[in-house]
Amino acid sequence: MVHEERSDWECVQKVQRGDADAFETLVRRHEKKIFNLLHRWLGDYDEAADVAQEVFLAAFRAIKQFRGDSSFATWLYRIGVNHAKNRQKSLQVARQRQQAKEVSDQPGDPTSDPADGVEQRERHDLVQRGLNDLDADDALLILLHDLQEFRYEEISETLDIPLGTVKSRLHRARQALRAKLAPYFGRKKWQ
Amino acid sequence: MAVTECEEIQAWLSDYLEGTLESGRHRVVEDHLYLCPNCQAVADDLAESIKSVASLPSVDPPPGFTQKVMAQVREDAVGPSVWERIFQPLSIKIPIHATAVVLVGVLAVYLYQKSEAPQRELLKSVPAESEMALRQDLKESDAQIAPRVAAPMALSQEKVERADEVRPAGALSSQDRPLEEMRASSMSRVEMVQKSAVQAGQYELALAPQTFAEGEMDLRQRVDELVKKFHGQIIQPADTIRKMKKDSLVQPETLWITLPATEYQRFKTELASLGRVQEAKVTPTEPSESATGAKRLRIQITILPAARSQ
Repeated sequence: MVHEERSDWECVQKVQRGDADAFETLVRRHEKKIFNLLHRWLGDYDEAADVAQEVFLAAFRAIKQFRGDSSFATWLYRIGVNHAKNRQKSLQVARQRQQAKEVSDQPGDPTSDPADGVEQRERHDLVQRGLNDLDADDALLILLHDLQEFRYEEISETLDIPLGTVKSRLHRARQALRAKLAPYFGRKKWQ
Repeated sequence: MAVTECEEIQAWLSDYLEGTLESGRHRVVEDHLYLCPNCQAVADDLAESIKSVASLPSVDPPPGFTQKVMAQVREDAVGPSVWERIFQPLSIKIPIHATAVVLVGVLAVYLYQKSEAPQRELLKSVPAESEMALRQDLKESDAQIAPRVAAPMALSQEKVERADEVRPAGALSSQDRPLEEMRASSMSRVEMVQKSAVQAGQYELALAPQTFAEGEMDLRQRVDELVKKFHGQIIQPADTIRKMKKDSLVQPETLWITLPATEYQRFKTELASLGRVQEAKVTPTEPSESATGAKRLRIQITILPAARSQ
């Protein structure tokens, strides 16, 4: 892990010295995690692709200001969260208009893997809709901790909120999601 | 079980499920869940919910994502455009609208100063005692008059006529006003012209004939003859030979001549035979020398409208 961070830092320093190609290593290393977070948070594959692209470009433009006070990943996530928050607002309006529409029904949605069973896909769709219906900050906490496996300390650093607040808010967010999904759990238990 | 106890237990469920509760509290929760089916159901659903999120499938970014990002990065790394280079040192983005507003402002100030310049020049050229009167006159006149008055070489008879046409509304027309009043007004304006036209000639003469009778020899023609007689030369306006139009009898006419310095006094004396002559020496500059070496004066003559004979 430490070695990874050091590698990130080396790449960052190369980019800071004017080697733009060194940035590709950073993109390849972090694109999947950033993209997945954005995809689940925004609930839209194409939007996530657009925002992820913006995030990396913004990171490249601001890389000279990065002094290594935090890990590159934390810094990158901060940029990602800020960009996605702006997009969230417009998406929430659009989502309200299409409330009845299933996420998986959207044409070309690549998250629906044909290899998955019907029940499995149904479950993913329900969870995604549950996340979409949550307060955006609550959904973000759940995704960072339960999907991306961020530690509390990392979340605290990324979102710049106190550790205690992270814990209490995460629990509240989990309870909110449980309340949305519980009716389905009662009907059908998934493995 | 008391509701408050259930609420307290449920508040610890996240930590309990993650196994981060300290051992004493962990046991309390465990005991409670064993005895409380309601809290046990909540704990089960919460665990299920957390597991559901964690099991969401990972998706790959669209094909070519890295290449797209890097293409933009490389384009960005090439360097700023010419405009960006200009604005970059300021460390702020100047919106194009703000830039446009500033440019329009600068243009407006430039045009305003340009239009004010002739008036300022005119005021500078006027002696102090006349300045107040001239300022008043400029206020009353259309703004177009001032530049014409200030450009002495362009002050042809035609322009004086046009300036009269743009007098403020409500002013009497030339035909409506009594002749004497008109003459006084014209004289005043000629004095103003004389004073403002310092660069036009070294001497200025205003000729005001006392009477005018139909059929009498053209006054302007007689002035032309006098100029020739004293070896003078009319330099402005070019169309000096033309006859005065009938309606121009009530308008002043201005012409510029050059004359040998030695002839000036005699010319002035003879000119006085045509009417009352007012003289103003307006510039102390040395007379110019002709090709023959004779000193020549530059003189501006203003012929005032003649008084009609009774």
